[in-house]
Amino acid sequence: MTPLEFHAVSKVYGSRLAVRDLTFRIGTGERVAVLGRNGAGKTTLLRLALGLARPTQGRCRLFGLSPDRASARQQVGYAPQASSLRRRLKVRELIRFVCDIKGAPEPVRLVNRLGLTKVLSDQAGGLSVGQLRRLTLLLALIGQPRLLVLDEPTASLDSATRLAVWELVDEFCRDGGTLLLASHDFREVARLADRVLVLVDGGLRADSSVSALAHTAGVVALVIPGRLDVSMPEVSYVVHAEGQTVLLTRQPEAVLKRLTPGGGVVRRKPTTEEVCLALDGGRDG
Amino acid sequence: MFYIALTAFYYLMLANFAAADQRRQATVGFVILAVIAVTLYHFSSLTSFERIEPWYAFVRSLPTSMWVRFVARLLLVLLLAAFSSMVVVWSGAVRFGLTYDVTTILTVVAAVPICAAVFAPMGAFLGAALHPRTVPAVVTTWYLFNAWSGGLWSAGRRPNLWISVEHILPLPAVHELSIAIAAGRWHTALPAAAAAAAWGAGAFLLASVFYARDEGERFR
Repeated sequence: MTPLEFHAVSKVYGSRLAVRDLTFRIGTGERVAVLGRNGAGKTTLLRLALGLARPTQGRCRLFGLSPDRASARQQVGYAPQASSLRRRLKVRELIRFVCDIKGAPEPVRLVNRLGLTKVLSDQAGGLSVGQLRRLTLLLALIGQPRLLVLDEPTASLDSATRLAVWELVDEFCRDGGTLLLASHDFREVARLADRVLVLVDGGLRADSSVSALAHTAGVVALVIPGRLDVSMPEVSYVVHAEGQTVLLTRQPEAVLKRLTPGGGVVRRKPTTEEVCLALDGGRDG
Repeated sequence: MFYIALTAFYYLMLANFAAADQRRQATVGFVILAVIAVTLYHFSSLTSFERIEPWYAFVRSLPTSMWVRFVARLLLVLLLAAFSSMVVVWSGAVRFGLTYDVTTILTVVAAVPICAAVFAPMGAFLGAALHPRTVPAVVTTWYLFNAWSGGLWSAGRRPNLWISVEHILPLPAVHELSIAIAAGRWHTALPAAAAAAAWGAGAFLLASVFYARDEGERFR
């Protein structure tokens, strides 16, 4: 059964189109990251997938069922953002609450592994950011879900905790689990995902494997020594960094023709982040 | 708990000035008000919280259906309403030395589920349909209107025109139906039963429509 399927899904909030005409399918065992700027529609996509919002048009299917159905959500583990948890509930109570609803045993080993044993009697509001993140991941993994949905799982975490979270997610995927991840962290995407969905203004601008994203999107990076102020319609994004100017474009030949000859321009494959910037089509100023 | 204490306080204040023979009647009236307060405020506030608080988004992502949550909430409301009723009844017994006959006790027992069945969907409807910021004000207005329509705060002095329509309002209908059931003459209260059922069913339909309409997404 396909874990997640969107067919021509659009969602409108009032007069604002949050996502438009999304069609994609996430197969069993795939690791998919959703990329996009704030407001690009990432959270709406996750909410639609989890049945927290209904499509205005189109159809979502979670394991072949409407995401409204409890039996569909039984197979999903969702790690919300840390601030979502009830601050007054104790860690033990939160774990028991989710275990009771999912009909799962208490995950004693996982609690140990995530280093939460000592804080079981603490209120969620008293935990550090790292502990909260680990707790949300733990709650998501209760009941051995087949699809793990993570919303920026390692935002504001220290390196050690981030690695621990990545390792656990990796393990989940190695055991055949499917991952749907929304993130701004391109290192995280490169580490955890093998496929990316790039959202721009609610639309699906690219759907590709991580390695082939640049090729699929047709984006090329042209690196020019020094700082160069460029204003060309063919250039999607300009990055100034480390004494260089990187022009991200889908029409490299046209850009090269218009650049002053002899500038020492180097053509290279863009990073995932650069592709996303180019697809977004802005300028960094 | 605030509304439970508040209703008991109002009851003690009003019954203090009522004639001794009217206090028992006031007790039944305030039991109904206590149940209305609990059901209206509980359902409206929780439904509106569910639309805006991230915690409820997480809860809704768990494998429970909307109906399970509704029934769980209803059971909690029934428990709170029963407790709230007991507080009113007990306050009357302690403060005024009231004793209650079987019919009065049965009226109280009947009033809790009947009242909850009518006012719980109303609370859910108001919580689902209104902007969360306006919910407390509108619910309080509706609660006060119902209290007034029952005649408790107007000592029964209302315009004649009002008296001709009050039997179709939710609180008088629930009040009359509860008393009739407790007295074993429910067949005499069919119009009240029809009015209560119409209010309950209408509110339930509206609550279902508004709850399902956008799952709280309007207020993001």
